[in-house]
Amino acid sequence: MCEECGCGEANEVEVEVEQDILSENNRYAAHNREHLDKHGVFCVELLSSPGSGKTTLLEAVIGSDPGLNISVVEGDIETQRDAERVRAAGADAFQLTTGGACHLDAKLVHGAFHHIDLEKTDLLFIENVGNLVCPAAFKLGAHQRWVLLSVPEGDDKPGKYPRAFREASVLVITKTDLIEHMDFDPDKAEREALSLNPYLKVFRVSAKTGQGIPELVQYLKQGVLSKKA
Amino acid sequence: MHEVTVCDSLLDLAEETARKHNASCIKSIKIRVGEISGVVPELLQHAFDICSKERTMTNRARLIIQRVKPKALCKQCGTEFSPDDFVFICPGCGSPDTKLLQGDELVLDKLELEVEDV
Repeated sequence: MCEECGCGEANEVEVEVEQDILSENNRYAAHNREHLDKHGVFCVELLSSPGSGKTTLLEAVIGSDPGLNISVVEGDIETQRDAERVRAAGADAFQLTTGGACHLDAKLVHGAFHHIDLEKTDLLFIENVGNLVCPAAFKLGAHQRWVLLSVPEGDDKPGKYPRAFREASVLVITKTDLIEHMDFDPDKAEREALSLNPYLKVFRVSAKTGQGIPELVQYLKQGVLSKKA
Repeated sequence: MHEVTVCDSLLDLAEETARKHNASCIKSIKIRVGEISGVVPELLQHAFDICSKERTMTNRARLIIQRVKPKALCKQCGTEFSPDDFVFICPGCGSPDTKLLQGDELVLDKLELEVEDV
């Protein structure tokens, strides 16, 4: 290279990389999973559009007194409101605020783990930012991802947001007490979701009437037991 | 609009790889974006046009996006098919028990680097 100005012959090379663009996030997600497994914690991520009842479902699960130590990592763009609600219901909670970002990532969640006593936790929920699109691409390290679909949103949503439903292991249809007031066909929603993902386990619940909550809690307890074994 | 996050991760990965190869700058970044990866190529390009300018290693780099169509395999009868409109039901036997072979990837494929003579 020319010493005066730094110009000179440069070689051009092509380098094969073949690496996942989100590999850094995936590395953090794997690390989160190791933490959870080390402490025998069963972890569920909740994903849905805003207002479909994620926090209300958590309140119902915690309020049903399942005999489990439950902790919650809350993800929102702003405010501490959801963490306060979950604490009032009786669980330990830490609020993450993304300050505008539309999703949680594994590194953020890892930071939250330092504020949760995993040793005293049987079941950890990670409530993602209300959004059916962006969060789907980012693994957080949870054992299961649950997608919620509320009756007022309409039964056509699985096909419209395929990735969220394809990568979930559980579908929870929420606010079923509203079915009689809405043109929502739960069988149709379930069929459409299962055509995207035949392995989905489906629950139909109403946090208001309590319908379906015992079955869902029973399923959570099985998950917790599987991690204690 | 998570494309900005994806773009930042891409630039980090590209920069880190370029440094390992003692490159002075990156000329082009070739990636594969699956059509059902949840990333919109136009938005990613837009994010790239802004974010790449903020880094000396990438400020002259060109982004080349190869779109990948989804392809699925039926686990029951072995038929390979394109899940058009996100219908993952096998057109051969009607089974929903299928596996995605491609179409959800976000991969940094190749980098074209300028490496100074040592």
